[in-house]
Amino acid sequence: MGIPEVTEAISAQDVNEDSFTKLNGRKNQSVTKPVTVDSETGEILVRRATGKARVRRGQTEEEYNEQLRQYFTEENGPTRTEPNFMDNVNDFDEKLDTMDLSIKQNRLRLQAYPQRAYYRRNYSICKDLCSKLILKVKDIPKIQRELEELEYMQNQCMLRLSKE
Amino acid sequence: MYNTTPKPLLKENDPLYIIQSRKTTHNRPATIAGPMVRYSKLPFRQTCRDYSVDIVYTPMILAREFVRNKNARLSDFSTNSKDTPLIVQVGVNNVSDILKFADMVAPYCDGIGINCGCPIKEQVREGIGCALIYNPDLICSLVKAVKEKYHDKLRLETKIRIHDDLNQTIELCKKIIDSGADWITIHGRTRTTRSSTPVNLEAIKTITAAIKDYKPNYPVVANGDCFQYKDLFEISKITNTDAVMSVRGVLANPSLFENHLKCPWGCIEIFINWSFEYNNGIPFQLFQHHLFCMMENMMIPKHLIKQLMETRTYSQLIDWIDETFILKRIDDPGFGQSIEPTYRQIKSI
Repeated sequence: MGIPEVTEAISAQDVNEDSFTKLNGRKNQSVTKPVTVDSETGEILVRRATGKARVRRGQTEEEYNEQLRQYFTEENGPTRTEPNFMDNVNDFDEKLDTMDLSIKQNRLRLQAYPQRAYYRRNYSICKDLCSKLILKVKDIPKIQRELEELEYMQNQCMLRLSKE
Repeated sequence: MYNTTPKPLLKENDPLYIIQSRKTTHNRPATIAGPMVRYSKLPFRQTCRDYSVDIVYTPMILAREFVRNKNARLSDFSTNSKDTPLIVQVGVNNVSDILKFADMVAPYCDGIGINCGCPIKEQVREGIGCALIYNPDLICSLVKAVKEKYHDKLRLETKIRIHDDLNQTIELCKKIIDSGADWITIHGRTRTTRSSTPVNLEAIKTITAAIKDYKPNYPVVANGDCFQYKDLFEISKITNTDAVMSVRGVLANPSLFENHLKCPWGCIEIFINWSFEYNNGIPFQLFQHHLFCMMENMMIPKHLIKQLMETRTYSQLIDWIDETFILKRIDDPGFGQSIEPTYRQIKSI
């Protein structure tokens, strides 16, 4: 099957103007009308700012089924954060042992535990959580700012606990 | 194989019922917090719900990424049992992706909104956002595909911008209605209108009148320049719409639908509480920007806002607030009740 030509959508004025005019004094207001190459996989053809056509690859049924499996069985749908879900410190420990901490998003999700304890002025809990997390992440490269916050909270907690 | 059944729609969570009934049941139009790129995350949505917002949107989620990438799903969508009524807004340019997307989000939301209004050129180039209003056939095929699969079990909305020629918008709306969309949200600006230019309420009025002529009682939502409580009634009255969506208005003052002329301090306390309660890796800069918008709206002195923006982490920011203001926590008496901030010390204000 030949690749269909990418067509321009009608312009804001709905006339066949050149797509790269300076309409209203602003450059290049053309809009892309994507062309479906394969309706089953969602492969489409769009046009880049340079005017070149670009194929957006589709997703095969097998690839989609794998994503469905991951989403519904491994991830259990979207992340659910119910009120007080971070009260469960065992949950933190379990995540600390099982999560891939080289992934920033995972580290930030764990860092949210001591941050919440700090905000709630639970300094003893916060200090312990920071210590555990620092031990696990201290050797990961390029996380200076994250480490600094953990150490900042740890120090502030010790300072405040010593005044009690 | 997997349970993709949509969440049951009851009076409490059916966005269509809410839009159609609020004028009768609450003597006011329905109130909606619209989608903001990056900002309509769970803590902010919950804050809006605490201040009489009936329906809340997620930020636009790109269907293409969501159905293909686990990390995109992790960062784009988190929710909980209190996060309802919820519309998940989608940026999409083909039928295959929207059907897959609907399968994945339908059990966790109360409706899907197709973004036909985003003017960001990177999205328009992909045929997403307001590119769709110049491509009526594609919008209709997206709407039809979802409604033919889910019928009334899943609500579907389209949010559009207007054309320079309003007749085009009217024709587009008629096609969207015929395709089965449950309601239409009209943002009263064209693709190239700047947000500093006042919204064109007369255009929304004209389009709404044509829609209601074509299909009486069809629900229409007006969007644009709702910054205060009185705007809710004025916009609805001028445009004859059933509901009003605020976007930049609620960003600066999530309590605007409770007739607070400016963001109350209690709202800041509530937002901070939800931000720590539901934080699941939300970037600090996003949290900070929310507070910037709210504090600017409260007219906190500029040099203090500058100090806010100089903080670099969640904990630093909390320490700065605690040093500068009285910030109550959820267990403190009077949490979330204050209107004006209480300064700890006068720092050369």
